[in-house]
Amino acid sequence: MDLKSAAPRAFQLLFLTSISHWFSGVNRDRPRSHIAAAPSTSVRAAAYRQCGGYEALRLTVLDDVKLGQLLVRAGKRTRAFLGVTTCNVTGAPPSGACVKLLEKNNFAALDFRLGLALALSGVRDSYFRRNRPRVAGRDRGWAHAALLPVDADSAGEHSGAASGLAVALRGFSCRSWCPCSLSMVNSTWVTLRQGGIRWRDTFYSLETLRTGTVR
Amino acid sequence: MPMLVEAGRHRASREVAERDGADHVVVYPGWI
Repeated sequence: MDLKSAAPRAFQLLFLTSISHWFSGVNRDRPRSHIAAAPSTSVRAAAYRQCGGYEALRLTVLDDVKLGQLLVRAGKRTRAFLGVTTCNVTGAPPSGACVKLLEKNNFAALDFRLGLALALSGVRDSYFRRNRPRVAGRDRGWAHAALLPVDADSAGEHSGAASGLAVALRGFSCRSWCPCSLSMVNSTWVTLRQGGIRWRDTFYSLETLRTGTVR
Repeated sequence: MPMLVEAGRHRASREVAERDGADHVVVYPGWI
């Protein structure tokens, strides 16, 4: 991910914002809260063995997330933080490629439940349509821009033309939301059309994945 | 496949694990 340009920076900011409640949950030891980051996860060996590890996760797409879930179920404690100064990744793909990268992940994150995917889309669209006319005034515009990136266009308009930062935020948010939203639609569509997920020269049918995943 | 290591290879993770008694430490990396 080339973070020298605005779009991938926006994408990552939105992504981290969207999972901020995961950080909050595990760092406050909330029951059932779990989190993962595939390339930068450390697990005590004894805890890994006690929770079942990858033997239990062999048919799970989001194995890093589900490993976190297994650990919590086994009574283990998780902590999460942003490692900007201690852990960096180089050579990541451009933001547009994230749609392709997340192709196997997003629908799996909903446990392959089409109804849930449709419901989420419906709720989101309904919410924005209902609230869009109410956005008025500088403060509410800012709140919308911060919390509801897809409606940042509306937020920017109502924050006032004098606020250059609000205008920048509008563009920032819109750029980040597009790949996020598109990646969910793409993941659902491709997985259903193929009847499963192809990963590293192996095809896993949807039926197999639905029965084999850790819930 | 995530890189799975015993806590201790990443200094900041080790410090968090020791401070909070954690068995599982997740670091979301910065991008450069």
